[in-house]
Amino acid sequence: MTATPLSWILLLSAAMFAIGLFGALSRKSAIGVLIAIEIMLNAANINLIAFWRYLHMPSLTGQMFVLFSITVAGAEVALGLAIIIAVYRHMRTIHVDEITELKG
Amino acid sequence: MNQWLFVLLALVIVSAAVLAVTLRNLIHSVLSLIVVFLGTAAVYVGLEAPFIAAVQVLIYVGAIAILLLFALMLVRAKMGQPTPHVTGSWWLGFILASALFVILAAAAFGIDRPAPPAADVPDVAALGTDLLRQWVMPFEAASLLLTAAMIGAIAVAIELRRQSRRSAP
Repeated sequence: MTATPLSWILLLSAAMFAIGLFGALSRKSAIGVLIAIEIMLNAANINLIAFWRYLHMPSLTGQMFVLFSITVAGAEVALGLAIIIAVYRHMRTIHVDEITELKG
Repeated sequence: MNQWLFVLLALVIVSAAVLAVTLRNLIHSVLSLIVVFLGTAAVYVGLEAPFIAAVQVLIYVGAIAILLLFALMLVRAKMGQPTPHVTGSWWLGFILASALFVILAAAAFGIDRPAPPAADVPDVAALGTDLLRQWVMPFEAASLLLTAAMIGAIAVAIELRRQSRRSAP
């Protein structure tokens, strides 16, 4: 795939990030927001791998960044879902616009 | 692997991502999220990072998507009258996301550079050696983070179950 221009890969990643941002801002369900955040994380990882392949080849820094990013994403999803389930037990809803306990 | 294969892959990924953030049924959304994850893994393979592709399939498809499905089934919303699945101000998010895409796309052009030959790509053995030499401190920090996240997730879930049982009528 290295015949592909670098900017095409960056364009794909920009599109994924924008779609994820739209989802995170527009979804009502907290799990939907989490799904959108996963798309954004994947877009960032594609960017890291593309820049590594085209610009930083001899070192492995880009791959390492993606490995640690995937690790953090795993921890984030586990904790996020635990919090969502806890909120659901408390308030019987996971709609982010109905959870307004902290609103002043 | 030629560039038209990449265009096809990108179209699949983008349309699956659009479905994942717009479908009303969240189960279907997670299923199309799995398509996004697999397409991303294919992009990694095309960019000569096969180990990252394997990790992507194992962790994103094998763990995160399954975890999302389990959580969805645990918090199944009551089957009443259908409510809108987007917030009232979704158009604001659409404008912001479109503006961000235009900015990022404008920045993406003009930085094209020829890729180094594929023969220079370090193999997985080099990755493992680097991970335990140069990157050993982040590696240990990651293991600490995973342990803390696991204990934290269990603590959050268990504490609230006990409370809700006590306050149950």
